[in-house]
Amino acid sequence: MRQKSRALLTMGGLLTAAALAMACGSSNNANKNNTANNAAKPSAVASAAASAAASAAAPGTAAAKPSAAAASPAAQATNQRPADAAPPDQQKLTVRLAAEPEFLDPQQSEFEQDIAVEHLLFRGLFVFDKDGNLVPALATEIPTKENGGISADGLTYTIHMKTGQKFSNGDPITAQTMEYTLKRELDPKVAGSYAGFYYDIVGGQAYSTALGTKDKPKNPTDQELQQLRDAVAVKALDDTTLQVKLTAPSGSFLDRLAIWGAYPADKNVIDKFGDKAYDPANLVGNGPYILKEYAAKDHITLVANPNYTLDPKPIIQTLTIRLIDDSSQAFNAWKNGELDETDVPGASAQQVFNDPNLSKLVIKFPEQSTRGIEFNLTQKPFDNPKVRMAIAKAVDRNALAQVVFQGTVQPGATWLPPGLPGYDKANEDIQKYDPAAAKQLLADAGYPNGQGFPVTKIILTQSPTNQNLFDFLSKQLKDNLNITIQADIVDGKTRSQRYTNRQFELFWGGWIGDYPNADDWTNDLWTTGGTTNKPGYSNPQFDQCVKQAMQEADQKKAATLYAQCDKIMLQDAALAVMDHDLRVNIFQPKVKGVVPALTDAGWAGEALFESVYIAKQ
Amino acid sequence: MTTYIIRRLLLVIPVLFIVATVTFFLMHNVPGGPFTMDRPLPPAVQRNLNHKYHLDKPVWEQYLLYLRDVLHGDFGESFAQRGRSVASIIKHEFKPTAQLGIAAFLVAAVVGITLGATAAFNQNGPIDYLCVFFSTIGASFPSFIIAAFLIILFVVKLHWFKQLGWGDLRHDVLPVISLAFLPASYISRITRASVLEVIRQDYVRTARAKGLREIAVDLRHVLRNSLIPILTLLGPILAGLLSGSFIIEYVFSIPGIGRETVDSIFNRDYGVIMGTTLFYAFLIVIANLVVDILYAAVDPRIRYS
Repeated sequence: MRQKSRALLTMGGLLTAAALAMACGSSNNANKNNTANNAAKPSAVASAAASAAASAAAPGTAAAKPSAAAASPAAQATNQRPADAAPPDQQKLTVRLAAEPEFLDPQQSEFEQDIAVEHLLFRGLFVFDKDGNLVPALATEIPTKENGGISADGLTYTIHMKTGQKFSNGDPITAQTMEYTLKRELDPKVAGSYAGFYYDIVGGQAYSTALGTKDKPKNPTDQELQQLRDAVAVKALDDTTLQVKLTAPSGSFLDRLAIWGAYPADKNVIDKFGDKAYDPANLVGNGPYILKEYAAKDHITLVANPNYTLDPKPIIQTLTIRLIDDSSQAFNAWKNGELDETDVPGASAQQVFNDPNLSKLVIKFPEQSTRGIEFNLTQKPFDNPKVRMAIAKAVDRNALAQVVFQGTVQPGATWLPPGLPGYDKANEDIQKYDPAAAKQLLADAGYPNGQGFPVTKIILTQSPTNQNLFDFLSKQLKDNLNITIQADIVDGKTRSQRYTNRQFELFWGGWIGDYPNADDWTNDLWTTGGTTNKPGYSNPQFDQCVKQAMQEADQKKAATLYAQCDKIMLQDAALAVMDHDLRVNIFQPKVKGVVPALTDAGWAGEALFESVYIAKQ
Repeated sequence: MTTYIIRRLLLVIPVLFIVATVTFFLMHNVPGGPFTMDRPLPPAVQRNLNHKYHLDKPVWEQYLLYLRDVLHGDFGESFAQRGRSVASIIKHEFKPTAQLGIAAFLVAAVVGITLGATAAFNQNGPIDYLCVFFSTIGASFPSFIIAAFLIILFVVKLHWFKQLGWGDLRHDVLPVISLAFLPASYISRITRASVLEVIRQDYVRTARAKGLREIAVDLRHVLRNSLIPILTLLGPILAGLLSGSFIIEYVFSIPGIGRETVDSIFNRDYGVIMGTTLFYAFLIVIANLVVDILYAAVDPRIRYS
């Protein structure tokens, strides 16, 4: 062998350096879909009826939408800037969303991330304050029986709207706008997922179901569809008065008018752009922010709406929403100062909670969520209530919350979560952890010490947390009841499909509330024959209880009735409740004024974002 | 040669057709669809959605409609990103993936060939041991472990680079290095073995005996002849890198086509699944063709009829 070929090495080194420089000198970010300031351009705000299911990204939970508004502090109502706020050009915030919105059309939305952004781009007739009470937004007041907004029989709603309300492009928002919006939600051609929420409007269900079902399709003509649309009992009596007629009285109808399904739609924009009305370039809303830039799969930029007609006006002028899948990477980015807000990943939760500095920056707030082990009640062995209750009593919820979820969930044993009217602390005892009682129940059911109990499977999606969850649950059931369960690991869509088709034995599921009324948690979901009652629960006593509660006009009495319905469900062990999910966010110290609310869909404080500001440094 | 190339290019059509057919029917046979939700939808709403997006037709009819649209250049729209056409998604998201892939390819090729060749020329010297060590590490560590190392050191501790996103030097260096590690290690291994084999050949000794400078021997005779096995590797490596690495794009939050391919399958986003699969198939076919042409260029003994 001869001398070293130094030349070769140096040449290689130079080439590498050149290659690196070339690669890294690539032009600044591709794909920016720069949407010009929409203030000038007309765009349709299509807000079809709310989608039925907002699917959160969280594995193992049936998605539902949290909705409870937080009250703004007094300073906000008067548009007074807090004394320690930095000047306007420094009011910029960067937050994280875990998944990309599907489509920013409120009448078609179903995912939490879509709804989180729509909270900022739109305002509806009402808004929830931080305690979950309704506050007027586009409406002048909350309709009640006393002020004539609701008729004595509870069937006719008359809503008065504020004058001078406009979309960000200057188009006026009138009662006609809201009539168009609600009809759009029910339009079968729009196919809004939450249309079912408005079926109690007279004519609503007939219009929305005009195409029939998969097994019995119908093909109405355009004329027939128009007739059905005209028959929907939503009418603008004049520019500022909207009248809606219901088929039955309901304690939650106003709540459903406050959610995204009823966010105003601009007919001009929809007529002009059709399907493309909600593309980032065309989208027009009436909320505190407008869409400035939408870089797919990367980030969304919102800026304060200069034509916002409601109060209070937002303090943050530019909000950048970064779309980051992985929570650990997002947390690294937060530590590096690239994000002002992010979620605390489960793996780091204990470390963050114990750190004296970081723990001060954490906001931990309940989502309107309940999770647990769901059963297929239509087949053995879970058709036996003693078996189900045995399982419910055999799992130590407190240990589960600590060991598996590191304190990012709150242990619970009631279906209706704390904070929802209808929650009753006394109900927590029904499924309380009691291994001795659990053993006895299983023996009474015919499986003493687990003898003869079949091996059953629980459906889970693939994730390290779910692996820990399964290990924990299977060990508890083995130790306390001597029964064996196996994990059936599938991907997200397969899991949803199996649930919809009732192809499961055990299922880690739950619910997230759409609005703070217990009918969202009971009606159709657990009532006999409900279209969303997949476990197959049926108890006529429960059905009767729910029906009564829904028709009760007095909300306090209704809450007591719902508590009784919850009790019936829990005593039947319709499912084994385990915990309630918490939202755990961490903010940079300069971020102030965050008011978390149950309505938050993306990050803490986003439903009442006007109060957030950057402090002087 | 030209007829050979034309024949190979014509073969692309039946290949893509078969890929499209198999993918389409596989895709529709997997449980769940784009509108299968966590919260089950009322049947009427499900019907409305399926009707709106033509999912209520029988699968063979949807297949024929898809073929007809594709022949007109319409690859459909995405369900998970409504309002965006599949073609525009692929066009936009291929750009960062291609930039990342080409950069990683160049780094891997240059580092790999340089290291492997230098190691072979100095067998049993320190560079040789470095090369073997490096190639073993690179082949054993998954790219996301390397990425995690780099992030902890350079982003969290030293703050030299940024982690999330793509577009400028501060964002791009770490993903390129993470992605290049594995191919660089393979390339250096193969290069070293190939050069070691060629360097023992008689014609190399002849060239030296003729009085050629060492560098001329190394470059013109040794390296050129060592290239065939290396080329075999380079083609598929480039195709693989161009189709995107899901892991790297996920960890560094790069809006590329690697992530899109996997996301679309999880979302049952039919149009995008078809689009990305066809795109990837096309890339592989072209990459193989390019490698075969390069063989002919590098080795005059190889001729295609």
